[in-house]
Order: sequence, then C-alpha cells, then structure tokens
Amino acid sequence: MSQITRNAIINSTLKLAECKPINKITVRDIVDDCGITRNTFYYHFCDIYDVLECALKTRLSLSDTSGSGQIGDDAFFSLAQRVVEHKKLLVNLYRSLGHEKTEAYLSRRLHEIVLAYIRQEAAGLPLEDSDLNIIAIFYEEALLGILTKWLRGGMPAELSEDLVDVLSRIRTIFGGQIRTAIEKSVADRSSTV
Amino acid sequence: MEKKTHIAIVRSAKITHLFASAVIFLYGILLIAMPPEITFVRMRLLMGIGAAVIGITGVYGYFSNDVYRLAFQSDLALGTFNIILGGLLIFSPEKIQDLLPYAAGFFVILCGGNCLQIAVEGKYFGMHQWIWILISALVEVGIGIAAILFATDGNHTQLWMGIALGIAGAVNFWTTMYTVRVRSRADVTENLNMQ
Repeated sequence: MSQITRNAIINSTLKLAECKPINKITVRDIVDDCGITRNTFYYHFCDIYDVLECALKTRLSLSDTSGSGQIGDDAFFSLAQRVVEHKKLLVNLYRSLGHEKTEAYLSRRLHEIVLAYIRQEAAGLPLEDSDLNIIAIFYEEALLGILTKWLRGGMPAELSEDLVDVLSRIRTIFGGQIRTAIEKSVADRSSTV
Repeated sequence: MEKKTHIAIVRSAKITHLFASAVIFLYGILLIAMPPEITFVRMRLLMGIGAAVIGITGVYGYFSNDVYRLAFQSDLALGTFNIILGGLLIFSPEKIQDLLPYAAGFFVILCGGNCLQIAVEGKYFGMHQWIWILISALVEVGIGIAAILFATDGNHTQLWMGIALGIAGAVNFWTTMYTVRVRSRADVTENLNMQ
C-alpha cells in the first residue's frame, strides 16, 4: 500500500510537471490531484524535489534489455527512449532547476552505462584503469552533450528531431570506436613495457 | 470507509467548526454590548455549554481527516482545553469566574498560535493566502495578550474579553473556510496508472 501511494504521488507530480514549471508546482497541487492528505505526502517525501529525484531514478533507471544478461548499448538506447518519453519533464527540470542538476543526474546514469560497456568490450584485455576512465569520460561527455543539446532544442535543423534516430546514426558511424580505443591503449602500453 | 461517508464527515466537521467560530464571534459581540453584571451572572451557563460544544467540535474536526490537514491539526489539544473549561463553567462556576478573563485570553492566544502554525505550514504547502493568515494570527495573539493584561481592569475587562473573542471567532472562521478542503481521500488504487 505504501508503494502504491508513493507511485500515485510520483504519477501526479509527473503529470503536473508536464503542464507547468517545476518551481510553480506546490505540494497542495499534488495532494489535490492525488486525493491524499498533506501528512501522507510528507510521510513519503520531504518535498517536491524529493519526489522528482525518486521519479528520475525509477523512470530513468538502468534497464537491461539485451536479453543476454549483458549491459550494452541497448541500455543506452533504453535510457534514450525514457529521455524521449519524459522530454517535457526533463525540459521543465532543465529550466527550473538549472542545467547543472539535470546534467548531473544524466551524467551519473551515462557514466554507469558507458563504464559497464567498456568493461564488457575490454573483457580479457589488460586495459589500464587510467585509460579506462579516459575512454569513459570521453564518450560519456560526448553522449551527454548530445542529450542536453537535444533537450535544449539545439540540434541542427538537418538532423531528425527523433533522438533515437540520431543516436542510431551515431552508432552506425562511430560503431566499434570504443573497441578500437581499447586495443590501441593495450597495444601502446605493451610497447612501452 | 466509503467515499461519501468520508466526504460527509469532513463537510460536517467544517460546518460545525464554522458554527463554533461564529458562536465565539457572537459571544465577543455580546460581551462588548451588554452590561457586565448581566453578562457574567446570566451567561455563565451558556458560556459553559458553548465552550464545551466548541471543544467537542474541535475534537471532531481533528478526527475528520480532511485533505489538507492544516486547520484541525491542533484541535485535539484546543478542543480538550475547551471541554474542560466548559465543564468547569457549568459545574464549578464560582471557582472559575474570577479566572474567566484569563481563560478567555489564553484561549485566544492558543487559537492565534494555531493559526500561526497553519500560516507557516500553509506557506510551504502552497497556500497563497498564507500571509493573511499569518497577519490575522499575529493580531489574534496580540489581542489575547491584551485581554490578559486588562483582566483586572474592572471597567474594561469585559470589553477586552469581547474584543478578543470577537476577533478570535472571525479569524478562526475565515481560516477554516480557506484551509479545510471537503474532498474525500481518493482510494489510491482507483484509476492508478501504475508502471
């Protein structure tokens, strides 16, 4: 019952966030929409930003959709799909909370996905931790830049407005680059030994 | 509990609370308008019954569980105070008569404190009129203090009691009107778009 109520609060908040800026939404708006009492709201959450944090974690959570049990670029596309589904919410958050907090959250999720993907690609290879982090930061920032540019509405007109289309194209063009980077790193390290 | 039953309970709690506030306001007017010797002698029983009824409505409001849970949250304590005060006025008026101005003053201060809490919590809750609730609460507390300070000023004791109760009744009336929401708690399992 407790989880049902939490989800009801989150759903109401997300619904309201689609229509008005985050900083204009009040607890009263949420309890009016939800039909719960004020005390019930504060039993589950500290404030609206607490609800949004929880919503981001549950709605944009990492998802293993490959079916093979491995976390790969399917996880990234799953995240991208969720970003598209919740574009209004994220744009609202971006404008209300500022780009730093929204990017910080997306960055954390991307870091987990990219790191897991690199480790998967580097399985069996003696990749140094420092090079692993360099590769992770490089691709994480590239992907974050694309996501935030899309959220801000800054994508060039020639590109598709569908984020997933754009990301599919990027995968086609840059596919295999991470593997290449890993192999170069390993070869370089071997030659200096 | 069925939705309709819950709506009925909250509505009746709001109405009884409004009624009690109106009674307090009228008591205040009466105390201002009538000569002191008539008021205290003839009105003691009525005031005792009134205080007890106001206390009972307060406790009822506390357990009604309205959506906002702002206006009635302190009414268990306040209601209990009023029930005891009413009981003393009815059964031991001679012991409490001299303390009545102080009791009225403290009652008004307590009501004002309650409104102060409503204002502060209402601000964070998202009520736009919170500032007016705050101002009226501060006025209520100030008048309650004045009623205590003038409790022994023979000529003006009743006047100050009347002003204090009149203001308390008015403030409580409009605060209840604004902050008590008559709506049932929706069954959160109904129409839930679960993911």
